[in-house]
Amino acid sequence: MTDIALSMDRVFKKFSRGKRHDSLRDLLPALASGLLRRAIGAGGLKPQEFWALNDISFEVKKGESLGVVGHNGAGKSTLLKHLSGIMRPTHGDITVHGRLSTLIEVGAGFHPDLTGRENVYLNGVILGMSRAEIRRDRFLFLCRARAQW
Amino acid sequence: MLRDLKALVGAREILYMLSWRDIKIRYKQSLMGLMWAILMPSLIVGAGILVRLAAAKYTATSVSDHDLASVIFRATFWSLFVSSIRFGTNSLVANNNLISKLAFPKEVFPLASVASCLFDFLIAFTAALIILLVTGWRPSLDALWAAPILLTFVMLSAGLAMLLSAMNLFYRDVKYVVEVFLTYAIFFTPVLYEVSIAGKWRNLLLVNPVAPLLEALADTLVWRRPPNALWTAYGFIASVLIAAFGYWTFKRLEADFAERI
Repeated sequence: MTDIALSMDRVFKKFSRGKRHDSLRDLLPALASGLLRRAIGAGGLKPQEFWALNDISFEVKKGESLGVVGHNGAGKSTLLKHLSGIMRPTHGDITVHGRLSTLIEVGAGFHPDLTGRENVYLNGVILGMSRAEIRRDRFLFLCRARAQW
Repeated sequence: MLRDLKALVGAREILYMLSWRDIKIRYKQSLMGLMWAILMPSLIVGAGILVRLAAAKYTATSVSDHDLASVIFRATFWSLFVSSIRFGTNSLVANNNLISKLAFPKEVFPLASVASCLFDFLIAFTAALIILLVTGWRPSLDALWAAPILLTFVMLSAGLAMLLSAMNLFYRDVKYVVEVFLTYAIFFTPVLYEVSIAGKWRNLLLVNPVAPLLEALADTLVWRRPPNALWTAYGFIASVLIAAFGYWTFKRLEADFAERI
């Protein structure tokens, strides 16, 4: 068993800003103009595209901690989303050994119509715990949930 | 695909909790409570009785208990199908906060919608059975067919829910198309009427995979006879294919969900 817990090997992620076609109504005209543009030919990075992650490589061994510091929009959350598998890189390899849970936004799964206890169970399961584990630790969780609200 | 299925099995607790959440939210703070599950099938039954009364008048026959039982069974299964697809189509967009922040097999969202609709169905179906038993309906051994038919319905609904929820994530107007489609689909599906009403055109109606399943339901539960083997097999195979296609498409598109939502 290797002692590397997390690794990224030459990871790239291309993002595209600006107009996106999120209805069928917009799609058809966009497809037509896209075909035209492709016929003219544009290679590499298009003007509205940029590298959110540009050639990222690192390894974290078991027991190590790694902090990532950066400005707004530097790509910290994007990095985390790639590690957790929420997003898939444009190129590159990512390996994760063991269980990983992200705290990108801990309250994401809270539902206002559910009680505190019900939200604890829902969120625990969403973060990768089993219901048996939550039952064991629920008081701790309930305290944290209250603190967050 | 096998690895995807394994991941789905690993996420069964999430599936369970999300289904439970959907059920809980629907019944919480709602005046109607369990009546909610019965409302839609009852309205369809009402419409079905009206159609049959009209047909009976036209053909100078009368509406029998069998007609009533047939429309009740068709209505409960049809509303399972319709509400699964309606909730399922919206399920990914409705959970956008979870999709862009957490990693687990995303098909749990449409599947949980189907599961919560299945819960409603079980309430409605139980109510239907009670009403029918009181009014003198008795099942035969052929009624056991209802279980595999229900399973096929769930599979078909889940496949369509996965396919449409993924499409609706990329193109938000898909849900309006689905809405319009579901509104009119009841006219092209033998819910309010039997396929025999179409005479020589009946096979055209049966091409819709829901139709042979509903016919099989009426055959086994109402007419106490085994279903038409050929058409039922067709309904089953079409459902399996649609489910597989829905799942396959969903998994192919899944990687882009977090970015595009």
